Amino acid sequence: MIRRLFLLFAGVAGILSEGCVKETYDMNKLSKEVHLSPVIALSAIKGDVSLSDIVKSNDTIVFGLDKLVKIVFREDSIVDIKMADFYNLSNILNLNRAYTLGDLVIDPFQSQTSFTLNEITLGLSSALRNQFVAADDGSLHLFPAFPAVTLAEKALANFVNFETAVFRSGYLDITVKNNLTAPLNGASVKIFNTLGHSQIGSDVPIPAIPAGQSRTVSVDLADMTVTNSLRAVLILSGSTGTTSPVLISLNSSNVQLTVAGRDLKVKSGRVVLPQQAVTSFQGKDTVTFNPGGGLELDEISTLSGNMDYRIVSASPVKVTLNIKLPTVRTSGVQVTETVAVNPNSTKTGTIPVNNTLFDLGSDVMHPYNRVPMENTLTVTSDGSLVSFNSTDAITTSLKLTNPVYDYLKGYFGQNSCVIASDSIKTGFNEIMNNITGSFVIADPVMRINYSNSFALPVQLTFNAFGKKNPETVNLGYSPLILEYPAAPAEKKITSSFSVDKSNSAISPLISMPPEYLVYSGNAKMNPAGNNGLRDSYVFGNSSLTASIEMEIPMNFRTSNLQFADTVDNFLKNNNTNDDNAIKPEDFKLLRVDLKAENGFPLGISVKMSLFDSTTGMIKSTVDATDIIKAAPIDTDGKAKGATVTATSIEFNADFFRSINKSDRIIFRFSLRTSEEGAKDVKIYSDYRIKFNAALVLKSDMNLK
Amino acid sequence: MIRQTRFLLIILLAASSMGASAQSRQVSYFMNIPQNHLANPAFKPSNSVYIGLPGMSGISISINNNFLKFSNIFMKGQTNDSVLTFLHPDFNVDDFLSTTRDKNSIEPQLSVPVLSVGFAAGKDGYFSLDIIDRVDGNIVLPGDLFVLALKGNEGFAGSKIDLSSLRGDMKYYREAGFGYSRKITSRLRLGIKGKVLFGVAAASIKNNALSVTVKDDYSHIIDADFRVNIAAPLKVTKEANGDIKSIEFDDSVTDSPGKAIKYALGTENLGLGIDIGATYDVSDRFKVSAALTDVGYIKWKRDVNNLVSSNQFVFSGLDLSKVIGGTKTFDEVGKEMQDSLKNAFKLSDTNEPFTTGLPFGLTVGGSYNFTPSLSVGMLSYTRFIGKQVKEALTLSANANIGTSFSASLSYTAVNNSYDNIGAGLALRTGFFQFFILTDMIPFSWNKIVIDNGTIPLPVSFNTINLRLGMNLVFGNRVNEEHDKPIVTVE
Repeated sequence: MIRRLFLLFAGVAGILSEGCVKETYDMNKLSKEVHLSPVIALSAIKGDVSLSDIVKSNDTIVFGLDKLVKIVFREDSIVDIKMADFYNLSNILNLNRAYTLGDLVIDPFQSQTSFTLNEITLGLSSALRNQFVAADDGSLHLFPAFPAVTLAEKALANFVNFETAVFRSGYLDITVKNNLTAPLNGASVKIFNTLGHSQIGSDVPIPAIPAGQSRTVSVDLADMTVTNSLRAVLILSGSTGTTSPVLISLNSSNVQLTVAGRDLKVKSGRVVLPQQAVTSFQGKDTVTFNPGGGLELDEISTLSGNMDYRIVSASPVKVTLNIKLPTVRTSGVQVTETVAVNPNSTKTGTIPVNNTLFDLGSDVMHPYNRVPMENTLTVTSDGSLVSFNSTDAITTSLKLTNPVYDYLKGYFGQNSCVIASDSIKTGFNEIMNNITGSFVIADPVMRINYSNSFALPVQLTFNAFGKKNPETVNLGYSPLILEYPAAPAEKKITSSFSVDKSNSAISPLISMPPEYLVYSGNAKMNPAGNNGLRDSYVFGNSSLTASIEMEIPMNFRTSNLQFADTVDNFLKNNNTNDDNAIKPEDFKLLRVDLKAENGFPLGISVKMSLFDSTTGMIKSTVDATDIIKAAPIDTDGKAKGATVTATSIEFNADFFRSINKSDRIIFRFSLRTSEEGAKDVKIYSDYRIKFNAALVLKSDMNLK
Repeated sequence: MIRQTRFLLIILLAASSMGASAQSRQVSYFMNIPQNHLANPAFKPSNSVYIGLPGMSGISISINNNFLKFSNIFMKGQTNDSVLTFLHPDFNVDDFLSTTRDKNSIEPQLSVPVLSVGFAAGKDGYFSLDIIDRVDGNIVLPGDLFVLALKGNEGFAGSKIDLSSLRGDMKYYREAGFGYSRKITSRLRLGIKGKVLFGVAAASIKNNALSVTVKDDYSHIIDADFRVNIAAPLKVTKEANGDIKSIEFDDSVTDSPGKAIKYALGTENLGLGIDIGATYDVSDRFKVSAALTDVGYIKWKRDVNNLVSSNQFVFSGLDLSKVIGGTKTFDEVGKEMQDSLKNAFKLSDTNEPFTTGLPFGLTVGGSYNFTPSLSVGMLSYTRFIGKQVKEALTLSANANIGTSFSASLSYTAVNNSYDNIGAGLALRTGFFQFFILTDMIPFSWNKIVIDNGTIPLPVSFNTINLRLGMNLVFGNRVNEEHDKPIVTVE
């Protein structure tokens, strides 16, 4: 039994192990073709963005308050005119005057001498003298008559207030007093300068002089030279004596001679000049401002500055000059200045004119550019003898320096300033090189923003044209008068003017679109000339600045605006030795499932072509027409909802096979606004697009 | 090198296409060999004493799966006798995928008896002592995983890629069991075996949720909630922020045989187990038996690392809103997405002890003896692996002639495979008993030619097991009046 069973098992085992070989698998011939071809689908990208997320508001792209998007090109300082460009007001006052001192007064002087009866009788005959001697006994006697007699020359006491003087005017009063007890028939006096013994004038006749009385005769000193040391000669014409006895005293009785100068004005000499106003100086003058350029200034207000003066004295006397400008007031107070100048010296100084108002129109005959000046000049020799000459003079200069003007009022001429030709590069050409088709910008605006602190009419001529070689389109904008501040209360005004389709050809200019915007122009003051009112103002910091701002509201339409660009084939694998398991040709399918919820009134189509530049052939093209459709719009061109587009873009095996046969990729984007581009659409910053894209990829990965 | 790699690949693919049953329990159950008490502790060997030699008394290896066959992986080419893999362009992937299931399991098992001793005690009692090294693995791969790998995710649009059944459990432990069986009544015999389990190394994946929902727009929602428990000599290196940088095997444990042995004999990972069984003689010819085996657990404490991740991640594409807005670059957005994904499924590492249960089995059998030596039997073996239940039903014809010869021929339906013919043979010569068992005997073979050698592989099988060994047996009680083998008829 056991044996039978064992044989049974052995038999079965033998059959099983050898009997039923079904297949032979020669693993030495195992195929190396090991492929994996899964279809991978993955949501690759997504987004939910508004235009304001994509593009930030900046200097160029501006979101309006209504969220309308505008493209703005700005160019600052297309006009930058300052005061100095028109006027040089730094040196409008430069006054020079020379003042001659002229004839000056000196104090009166006087000297006297006397001749005793004894001296008189010495010139008589001996007999006659003896009578007088005899009668000098203390008793009364008849005074004897005597004849003319020339008395001996006598020196007068020196004068102290001059040493020598040539008089312009004045008198020398010669007085003879008869202190005798008998009348004199008259006399004659001769006055000599001691130096040179030159006679002053001619003999001075003195009429009869009763006893005890005096007689004075004046000598005109004009043009006479007098020294301070004089001598006198008295010639008595005799006496008739008395008929009644009188006391005769030889030593007590005399004839007295007095010489006195008065009303003296000297032309020159060495004199002591008492303090006195120079009368030759008229005291009134006019300061003339010279702003140049036909300016007629009525008023100047300075915030700060100085009037510098320089006084040069070529005189031996001490000079004091007082300057007064009645119509120039500093903080409401008249401007005055007193300057003392030592003999033969120079004095400089400064009169501040901070917060000072100059009234240059007070002269009714010449109501601009002038202010009156009232001066006084006093001199003195301070008690010393000085060598004076009436031609001595002082020179004065007055200059307005470092003025900082608050304002100037008046008429400011017809100055012009040229706005140099310049251009704004729009950058459109870089885009437009690859763009075909047309689009129309509906409502562009060029705005000139300016700031003007010239309170006077300024006419701005603004010339501009768009240039896209060789085409040009002129802006065609007429000159305009800029707004100006209502001075003096208003010192500056900021304003703008717009160049739009109503007053220019800007719409066709922008729709070119231009590569460059070329502009030039000029600014002219007072284009209507002088109306005589002189009521315009400019300020110390007056300027006219202007910037240009090209504002292009995104309000346009296009039906087939195409953008094409050719780039290197970035998909191509140039490494032939690349052992990467996945190669482009391994892709059997790449599908991009794009779903977009587009709130923009713009639709996009895309074409992508693989191009072989060697043969000039397009190898494969993927066409994604209407990949994103435009949103519907309302009557105003604003998107009123969103359009949902679901598109599948398939890159098939043919495309992938062509990748390495192409060296370039051509992209073509077509843009079309809503309603097939028949209506203008507006772009707002809150437009949104929500999208997601999934990739479905089937590759054939060779894993060998 | 290429040749070696190819050879290895073929072996692995072939091995993975095999399946295993319950380690030849089905065939040995009705045979007269001492090892059948492993299937039911109430069984009493016919020998007074048996000794299983270390390493030689019943090495069992099995690999089974419920979805793959060799022919699903390799096919003959149309020309040149070439062999194509299932990834060849001419191979229809759908054919391959049609063989997969929702839950595709692979169960490698290995048991190596270190020592087996049994002896009779008194008139009705029998003691047994078994020390066995066991490797027990169970890997479940979701069917969607194969579809995802081979066909991609596009087909899942609008549905979910369900990976919740992904599971893995592998443990190496030593089992020391002491059993005792005794006849309770004239018809009833009970047996029990208590086991002390010494864990050596283990790794298990506890998958609470793992799925990828693919929406119509191809956005993905990834849900993951899983925990990987590892008790093994691993070195976990971390970044400064606590992120795991690398996990490497700790070579210091095995750099000398002494250390390796010491590690293998470690007692830190202790567990307990129990087998209970009963046999009942319904009549002189008809007997029934039942057993509950491998009920137990191991608590792993040594070299434990727990890698935990739980989160949901939604990938709906790179959000380009900020890229378009200019606030971020494309690279930054990509990096953010990458970081987000990385952080979403960041592994946290802890060192908490964990417990693994043993996959236990329920065996119910019955036999009918036509003669004292010939019988037929029917056996149901149900294995519970977590939530997974595996059932094998075996019909067998058995011949047990004295103590010298025992044979069994069986048919087993298991793992959705219904063409499994098994056989077992045991012969005793003197004190030596040799046996060989298999649950599946292939009737047709494929000849695999590699280089100059040939390997026969069954044409169609997904279950293979083989047990062979040798016992030292002493005494023979079959002829004794009160001590008869359960499967013999007096």
